[in-house]
Amino acid sequence: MSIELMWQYFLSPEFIQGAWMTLLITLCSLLCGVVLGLVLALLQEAPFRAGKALAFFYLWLFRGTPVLFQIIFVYNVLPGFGLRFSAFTCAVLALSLNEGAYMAEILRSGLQAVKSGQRTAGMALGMTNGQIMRKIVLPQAARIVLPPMGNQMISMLKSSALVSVIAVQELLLVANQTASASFRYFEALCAAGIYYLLLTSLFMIFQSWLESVLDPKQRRSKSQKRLSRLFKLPKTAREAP
Amino acid sequence: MSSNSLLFRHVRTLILALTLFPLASHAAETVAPGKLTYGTAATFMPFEFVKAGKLTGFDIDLMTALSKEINLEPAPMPMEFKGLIPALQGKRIDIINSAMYVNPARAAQVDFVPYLKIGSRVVVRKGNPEGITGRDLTLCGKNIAVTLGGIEESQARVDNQRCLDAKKPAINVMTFPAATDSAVAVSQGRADAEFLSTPGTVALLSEKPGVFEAVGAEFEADTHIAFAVRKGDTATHALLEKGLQGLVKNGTYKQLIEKWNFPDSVAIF
Repeated sequence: MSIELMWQYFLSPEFIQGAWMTLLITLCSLLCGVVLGLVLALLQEAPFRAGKALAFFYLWLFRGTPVLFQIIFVYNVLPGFGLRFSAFTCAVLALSLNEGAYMAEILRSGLQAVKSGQRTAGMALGMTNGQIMRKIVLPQAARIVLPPMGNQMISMLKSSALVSVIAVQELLLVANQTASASFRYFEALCAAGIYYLLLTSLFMIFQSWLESVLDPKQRRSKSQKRLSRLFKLPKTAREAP
Repeated sequence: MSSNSLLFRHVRTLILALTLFPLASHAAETVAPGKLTYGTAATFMPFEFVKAGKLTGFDIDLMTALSKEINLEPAPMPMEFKGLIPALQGKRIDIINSAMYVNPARAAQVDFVPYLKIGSRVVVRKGNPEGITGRDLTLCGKNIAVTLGGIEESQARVDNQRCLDAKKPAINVMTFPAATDSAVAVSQGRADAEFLSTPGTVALLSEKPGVFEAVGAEFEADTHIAFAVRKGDTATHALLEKGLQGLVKNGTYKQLIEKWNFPDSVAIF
């Protein structure tokens, strides 16, 4: 049990590359997952029944099977149907498809949480449906879905470890390979654990920053505080809305 | 007042029982008393694999016969290959029975009881599209599928170093959890070659004819495969050796080698 060896592993190029690959897979899958989720959420809101049925089938299929199953399926079974992708592409594909299902439900709840009065007001102002969605509904929904999205971001970081079974050189596989070769399981796995905690902390900081930036009350009071401090206004003037 | 003292007495009894419990289980020398718990990665034909839902293979047969010799009940515990040595060291299994090759790095972690001597072959897709001629520099720049923690991984990394020293492109070593994954990777063209034991190659070529072919000569034909016991566990080591000698004496050893179609050269007794 040598802490020195653990730091050696932590700073070794293989571990750094593994951590980078984990981050890359996480970010790519999240991006694709959010886009897919948005499409599915809007599909469920749309009036045509085929859209609702398709969305329901997708959610049922991809939430009903384990992520590991989906990863192995995309990697080993799809080539039989002529769809052969690289290991990285298979990983991102499987993770995005799975994530899309969960994101769809989160985004749908966010969209529903925006009061219908907002949409009515938009229509009264003469906006098209697209404009209402883009300028009124989505910005408000985005604020509401931030905490569960942050959750999904962090859980995606952990799910990325599953792709080690299809030989993607991400952090967990590198740690396992190092441990198998040197038999120093404690040091190798701790080094990987520290990387995962580091990345999770970064995600949490990013989420809290995003929440504070998007919160209108905080934004308003912050800019007020900045301006009033700049002009050295008396305290009573600072309370003005 | 009385309820408090009653509670205290119950808690005291519970704590006493909990402290005595581990003392009681220390009496047995095996993980489960009367049973020989062995770890095995049941994805390695023909040594250990699952056929029609049943665990079978040369190692399984050998261990069943050996356990009878030493009056213990065999209790297989299938797991991934890379988890075998940690499980042994963590006292979750008594021995490893998974066609584990003997090499110096492992010998520093566990004690071995060798029982067979086998070599390895290079296996490629039928037709050999990458033109690999064996375990030589034709492997440079290719993808090799290996089992994580297996001997093939160390062999592939040695070959990779050899390629780099000869100023040739590096080998891409793809590590998979099981030996079957490596075979699937080669058959799909994701990997260009895999290293497989000679008996395993024979089994693979007969199970899946027309998909694979073996190229080049057999290499490392003097490698021993062995049971592994915890370092310093001389009691289990002696028990296994005694059982093995018993099997050799009553002819079961030779019988099993013939049953699984191994060449006579694999026998070390």
